[in-house]
Amino acid sequence: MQNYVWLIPALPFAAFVVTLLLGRWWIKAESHWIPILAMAGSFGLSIAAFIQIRGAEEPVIVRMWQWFSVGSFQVPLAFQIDQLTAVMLLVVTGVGLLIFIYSKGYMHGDPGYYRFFAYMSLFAFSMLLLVLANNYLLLYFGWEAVGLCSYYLIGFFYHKPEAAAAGKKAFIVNRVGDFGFGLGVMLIFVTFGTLDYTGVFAKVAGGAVGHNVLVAIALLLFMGAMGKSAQFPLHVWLPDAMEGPTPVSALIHAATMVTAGVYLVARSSVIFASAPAALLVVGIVGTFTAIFAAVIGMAQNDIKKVLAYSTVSQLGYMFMALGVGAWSGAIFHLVAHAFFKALLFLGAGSVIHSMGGEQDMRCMGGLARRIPVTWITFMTGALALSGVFPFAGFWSKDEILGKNFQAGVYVVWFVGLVAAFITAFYTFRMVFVTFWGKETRSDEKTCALIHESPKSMTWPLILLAVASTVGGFIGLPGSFGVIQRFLEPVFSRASDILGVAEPSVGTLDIVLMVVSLVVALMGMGLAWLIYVRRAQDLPQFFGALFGPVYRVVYNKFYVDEFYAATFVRVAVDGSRSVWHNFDEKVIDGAVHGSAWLWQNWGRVVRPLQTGRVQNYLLGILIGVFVIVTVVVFL
Amino acid sequence: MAPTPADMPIPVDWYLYLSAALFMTGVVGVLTRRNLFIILFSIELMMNAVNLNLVGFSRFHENLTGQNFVLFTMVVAAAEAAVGLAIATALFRNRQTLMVDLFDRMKG
Amino acid sequence: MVEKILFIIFAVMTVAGGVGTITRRNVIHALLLLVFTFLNVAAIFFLTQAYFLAVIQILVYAGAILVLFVFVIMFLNLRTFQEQEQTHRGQRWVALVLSVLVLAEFIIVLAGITFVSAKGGFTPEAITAAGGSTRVFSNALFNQTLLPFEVASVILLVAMVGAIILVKKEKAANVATREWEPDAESPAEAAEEEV
Repeated sequence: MQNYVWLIPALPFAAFVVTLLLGRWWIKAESHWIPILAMAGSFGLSIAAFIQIRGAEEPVIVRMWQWFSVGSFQVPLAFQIDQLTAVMLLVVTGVGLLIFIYSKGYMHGDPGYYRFFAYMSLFAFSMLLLVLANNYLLLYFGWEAVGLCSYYLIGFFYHKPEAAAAGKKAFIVNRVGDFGFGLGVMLIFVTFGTLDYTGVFAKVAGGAVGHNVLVAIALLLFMGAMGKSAQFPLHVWLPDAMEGPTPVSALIHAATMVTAGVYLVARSSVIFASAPAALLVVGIVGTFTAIFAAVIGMAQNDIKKVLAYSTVSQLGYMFMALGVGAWSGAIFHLVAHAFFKALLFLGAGSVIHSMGGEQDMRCMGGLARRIPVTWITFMTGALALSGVFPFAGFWSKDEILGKNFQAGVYVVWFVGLVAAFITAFYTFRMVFVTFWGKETRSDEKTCALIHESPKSMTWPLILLAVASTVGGFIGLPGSFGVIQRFLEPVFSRASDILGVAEPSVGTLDIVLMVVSLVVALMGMGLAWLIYVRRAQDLPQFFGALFGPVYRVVYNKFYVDEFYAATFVRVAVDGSRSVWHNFDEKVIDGAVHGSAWLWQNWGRVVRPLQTGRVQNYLLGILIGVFVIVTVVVFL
Repeated sequence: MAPTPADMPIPVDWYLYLSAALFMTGVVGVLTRRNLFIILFSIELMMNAVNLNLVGFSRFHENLTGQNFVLFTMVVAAAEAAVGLAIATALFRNRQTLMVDLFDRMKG
Repeated sequence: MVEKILFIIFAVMTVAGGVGTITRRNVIHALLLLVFTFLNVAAIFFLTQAYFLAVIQILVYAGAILVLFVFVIMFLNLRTFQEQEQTHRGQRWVALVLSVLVLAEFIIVLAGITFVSAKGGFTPEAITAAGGSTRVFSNALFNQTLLPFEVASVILLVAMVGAIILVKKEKAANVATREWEPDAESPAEAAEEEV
């Protein structure tokens, strides 16, 4: 493992460099080959690493070279491979590979084709660096790099003002979280004198550090996680990020990058386990976000926006799991979610592709017979997301809810159950509005052009659908859970600190499963009643039903407006005031004043510039005389 | 008078006084004369003053580096003379004069 | 003692030659006085037992470089400048007084310094024993300073190429359109005066 691990991130990086340099003039429409092959290589190596790390008690550290060396501040460029990293590697490279292949069909003919693949490769490199890092600074590097790639790719259609604005918004909102993360990294170094995971965790477990400091570190790290994983109140950037191309939404804003926050908390599980107060915050934020985003998702009309809010909600579930110390449950849901949410996004992309770019669900309908492969796979993803037996989402969501129930936080469990109900509702609202019905509510030209997507797009869909169907069986509850046992060495220390009981399957688990399955079916049934049975195919029905509440939900609880009226307003007004009062008067005054001063000074001394060399030489002689006189005789 | 190795008949200071006098003669020439050729001559004077210095100290310290250096000074002097004369020729062709104070196009 | 007397004689003649060089109106006269100065410097090199350098001084300086000067002076026919003003009106007295002052400072400083010989070992006896001035000099040159020596040859080559480029006659058309004639104040310059 020592000798090939570096290739996992290096291959996408090489693909990035080659594609960026040669893509525009030379490779052009063939730009997809190098990134796809690089991803396939990384995927293969990830599998190899996965197999080799299986069952290892200690993580494998691969040191490449020294990155920083300033006094006691030593940061190596080194990789740490343990079971958590291996799972993340498989998710990133596996889902990434499928999405790369999908992009070949989806982005076909785009003028920025090579640019797209170059940025995607750079993203893959950054994300792999993020999960492979063995210390917090390298993690931070990857963290910022994925943020940068996210910015590039959201603003991929940079000629669209909304896309450019969405990219900026994502970057700025993330900055809020990353500010906290950066402080957290610094605090870690100040407290522990090292940034290596192993060193930090050993010191935390040794109990040498005060509880309050640990809470502060954990909260600062979680702040970063909130930004990256779009948790309330920093969730606002993710729905806007849907301005990017759909494969980007699938890879970055559903399957991998947004789960980096979950990964960070899981990676730092020892710190969080030692700081129960911070863990409580994680749980509360996650729970609130899960239901909050789910409610908003009910009222969206843009198919990608629904999925975006669904992603926020599902990320909330993961934090909910982390909040009670169900580390492997969170990772399990992360994996399952990566499968079915990537599937749903790619399916949505396929729908959009076939509709010639239309994203509004109100203009769709009756697509089931027109694009059957997309319909079946999308349906699979929807079932998985809703948590229907036996699809992946059922097992992972149930794991989270069950862990919360066992931990005794019934409020969280109940809220999670409600959120599951809403999830099932909005998911099937989306399915019914998009695929059900007899005719498509769009103009004739678009209707005539509806077609199934090319093979490069449908095959990834099929593979992801298979994964979403059977993927849940890696995480059966209790002692049957493969992934739980696989991840055990990583989380054993944190679980010991928290004192989480050994999992066992009892009647309670079965009951809870049945309850959540029933809830999910109820949500689907409600959607069916409203959107199929009553043929009320538009959300206006909701409007009539709930009136003002609907409007508030439709407007996403006015969070954006609140930010615009407070933070943005203050920043803009303050900047304008500084601009007029300080910049224009003081700074410009100083600049103009100094220009005026030197202009006139130049006017005075210009005669000295006679253009005659001998005058200048006389100046040198005078200088020699003065210096010698001063140095020797004074 | 400074102490001098027993076998060195001339005190090293003398070289320095001579060198200083010759150098300042060259400086006066460069600063006061208008004719480009005289100025080039004056520069040669200054270089010779430096050479005297180097040779004197080479003898004084019983070290041959100084003498080697004189050879390089001569190389530079030769190069300077060649380029300087070429510039003089080009200037004379363009301006029909060699009085350097007339070349003041760089005036501020 | 004899050496000291000879040194004083040659030193006086050196400075006299130098002063003569910078005061002559006729360039040829100045040049001949410069040759005289160089020969005196060579004589002082002899007195210092730097025989090889003394010969080089005569060959290269008094020979090659000065022939070059003579050649160019003849070539350009510089007699015409003898009737013009020879010194800078603006700074001749300032420069002279200042130079004398700096010289005085040098002398005062030098008088106050006591030098200590580093005793490098290359005494005239040692040099003679090792095979003479030229041999020892060359040994030092080609052992310690071989790279600078090679670089010096490149400098000479560059100077030669540069000189040839500079002196090469331009095409007639270019000379005719050249705008900076001695008396013509160009419009651009006139405009600059306004600023």
